[in-house]
Amino acid sequence: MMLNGLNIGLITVLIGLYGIASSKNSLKMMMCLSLLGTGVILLFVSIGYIPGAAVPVAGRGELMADAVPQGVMVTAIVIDLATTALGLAMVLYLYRSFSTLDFSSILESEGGEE
Amino acid sequence: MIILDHSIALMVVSPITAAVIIKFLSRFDHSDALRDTITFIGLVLPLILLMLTPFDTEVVYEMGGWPREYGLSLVLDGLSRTMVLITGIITLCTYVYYIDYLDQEPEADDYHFLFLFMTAGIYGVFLTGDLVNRFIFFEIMILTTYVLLTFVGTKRSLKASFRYFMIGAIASMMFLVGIGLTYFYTGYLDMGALSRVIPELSAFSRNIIFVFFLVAVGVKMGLIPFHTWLPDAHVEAPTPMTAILAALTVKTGGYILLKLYDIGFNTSLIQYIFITIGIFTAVIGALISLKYVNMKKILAWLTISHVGVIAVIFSLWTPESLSAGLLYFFNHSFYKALLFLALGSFAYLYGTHDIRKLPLFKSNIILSSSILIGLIAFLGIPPMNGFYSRWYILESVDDHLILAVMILTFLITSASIIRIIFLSSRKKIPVDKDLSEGVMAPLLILGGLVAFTGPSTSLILENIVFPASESIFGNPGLSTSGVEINAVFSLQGMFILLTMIGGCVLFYSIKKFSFEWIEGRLSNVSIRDSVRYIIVMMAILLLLNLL
Repeated sequence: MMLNGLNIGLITVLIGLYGIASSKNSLKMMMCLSLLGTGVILLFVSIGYIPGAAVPVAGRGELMADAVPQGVMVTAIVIDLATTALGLAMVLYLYRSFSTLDFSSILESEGGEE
Repeated sequence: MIILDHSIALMVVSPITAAVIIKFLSRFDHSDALRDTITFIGLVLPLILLMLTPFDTEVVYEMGGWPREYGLSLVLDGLSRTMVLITGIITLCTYVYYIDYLDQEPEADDYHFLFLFMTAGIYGVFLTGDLVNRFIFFEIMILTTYVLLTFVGTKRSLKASFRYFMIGAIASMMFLVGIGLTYFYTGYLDMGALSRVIPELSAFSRNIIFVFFLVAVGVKMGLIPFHTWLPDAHVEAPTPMTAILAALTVKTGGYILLKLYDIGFNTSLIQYIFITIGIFTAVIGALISLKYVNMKKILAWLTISHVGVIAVIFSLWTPESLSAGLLYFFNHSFYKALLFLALGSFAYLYGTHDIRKLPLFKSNIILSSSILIGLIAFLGIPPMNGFYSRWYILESVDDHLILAVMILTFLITSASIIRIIFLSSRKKIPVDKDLSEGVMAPLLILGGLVAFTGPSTSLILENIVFPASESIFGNPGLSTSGVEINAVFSLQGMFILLTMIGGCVLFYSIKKFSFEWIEGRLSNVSIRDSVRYIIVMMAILLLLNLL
């Protein structure tokens, strides 16, 4: 079966990667980065998914979903949040300093190579 | 003693505690001395704890008493002990170097806070015993690094930092995908358990997982073509951060590569691809360094070249090459940190990084002698440590092609260093500024260490490097008997001395060569092109695996 969370997660990761490679706008890059992060989260959570299994709390049944990837993802979401917040702050300051969001023209603007 | 039982955890916790206390203090009026004292204690405590732990055993600390397979663990073995030692000395020196400058800055509290968190992150990367915690500590380290890079507040530093941020964030995500796939195939995250399970997987699935780890390790080490963040980040960062980037941050990438090899990702395809990338990185990085007059940029490109050498040496994955690579790691950290710190003081005094305007050998006596020690250690003149790390690399490599590439790299590196020495200003330039003791002390300590580690190479090898390689292979593979004298008169020693003469010749004839085509594609690369390079490299590894 191709339509499972693992494959869709991997495809989302690759779409995010393609988005960063193809966009000029720094804000769009940040959006694609967060898409990439979402793909990773989907990938991880579906690794722990077992069809028909119960919530991983002790005493809920014989078959329980794997709790480790979910635990890892809680941390990864926090890191994603920090990364996105820092990135958006940087984009804000880039816009204030260079009055544009196009990173290629930012690179070529004054103060480039020494 | 109860503190000693928890000493490994305290190595990570003490910088974090100091950081939190400083953030709390910054809400009230406080003296600079109090803040500096707390930071100093937070940075020096891990080193003291390292000295107090038993020296020759592997210590595993299980967080909260959970067994290693299920809980989180910190491991202090020979390898992480070496890395913690380097981290402790370098972070302490770079912090002390900046104290006097920071006291005039309004945002000094934030610098202290971030610097301490970064230190804790570096300790965590080296000490932790499972993959996910390695990722988390790496994120702690690198998120604070992005902010610290922009501390000087110039537009250019913002550009460099944002590019590092985008590429670094992609690398971190790829690392996480790799961890996820590892868990999917094995069901473990602990390094100890993984080292049992992963060698049983087929080479095909190991290579598939490593497609993602390749990006993570490549970007963190700064291998070509993943290096695009490195030169500008080095040039635009404040001086202590440049030293940390060159001496520690790229080393964490190398350490992760070592650990991945150690747990079983050492299929021939992975080793082959890292040797290929490493060869290109070593030669091209050194060649491009010949184009610049900005000394920080020259040293940054030479860092890339060094990382390439390290990638090649580690990828051979024999006890001999591991010992040689770790010695190279160790020595490179100290002389690179010394050079960057001394260069920062030159830039402060003369207001430029242009080597043609810096009187490198006609300045303040401590400054000139530390840059001289750094440069001749880098050049590899016999009693200095650079000579012995190169000699051991030539000693440990069997393959003729790799041997030839190593000698070529050393030759171009020598040419680059000789170029720095010849181009530097001969005139004494008067200055009206003075350097404080806070700047001199780290230069003296690091200069003393560099000068000391050369003549006592066998001491360093037996006490620091060999325990590290024994913790992975069980035997160090190299011998140290009488190496200080014998190495100079051996065949390899002659080759190293010849590379210096060849470097002089190359330096005079380099104007005839032109490599603008390759330089234009590798320096000042935009984020889009960097990501394209990353995708191409992933596709190459995937295709090679499918063939």
